Amino acid sequence: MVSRRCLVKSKPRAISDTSFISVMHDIGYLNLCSEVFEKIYVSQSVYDEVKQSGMRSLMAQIEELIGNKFIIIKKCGNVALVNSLRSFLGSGEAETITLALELKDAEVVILDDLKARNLYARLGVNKRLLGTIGVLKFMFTHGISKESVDTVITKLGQAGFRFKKDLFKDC
Amino acid sequence: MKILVEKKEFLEYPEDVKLLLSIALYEVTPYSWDKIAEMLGFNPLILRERLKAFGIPLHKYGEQEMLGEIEAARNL
Repeated sequence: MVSRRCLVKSKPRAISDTSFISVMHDIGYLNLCSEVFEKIYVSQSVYDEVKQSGMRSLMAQIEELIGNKFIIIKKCGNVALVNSLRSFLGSGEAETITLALELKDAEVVILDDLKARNLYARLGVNKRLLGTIGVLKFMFTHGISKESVDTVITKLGQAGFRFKKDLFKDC
Repeated sequence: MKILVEKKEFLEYPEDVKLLLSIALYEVTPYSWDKIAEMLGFNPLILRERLKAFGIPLHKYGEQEMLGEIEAARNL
């Protein structure tokens, strides 16, 4: 089935940190991301974090999505910026923000950690910032998710998210 | 801050102590979970898995952050 959004405009390209990829895998929504985004760029560190975690199921799905050219691994050019951001952030987050500055053909940056999000906002990068919650909200409002909102709210709670559920319930 | 909290001895602590330490560090430092994971010698995904198992909230979105997410998602 073609979602409503596909008919009206092209899908954006995103740059994602590790958290979004792993949470979407955990709740069974990683494959649905291709309904929202044309492709997702991840940094080398994000890929390495997943590979070194030993989470086979997650790694297998990522390899499949890399094979389908939906997930693209990108290396950062500005090592000095990465090192500077690593004063406060993990390598994956630092490289994700650096890629946001370097990649001209991506429109969205996906970060979940509030400290990483605050730092990104202070840098004034001209790309839309989203998190797992925002992407799921989009999936609900565009008929991409077939589960009930309550089911996904429960899954997000188990994935470590705490938020006011009422704001999710107008889907 | 760096001198106070980035200690190599942390790497030698038992895992349960490091988990408690990670929660405290997230509360009192500007560091993200992933930065703290690296400081304590965890893979970031593994630290998050361990903390989730204890029901620790990793990402607390207030009303303002939620409204921001909803607005960003609307204009995607």
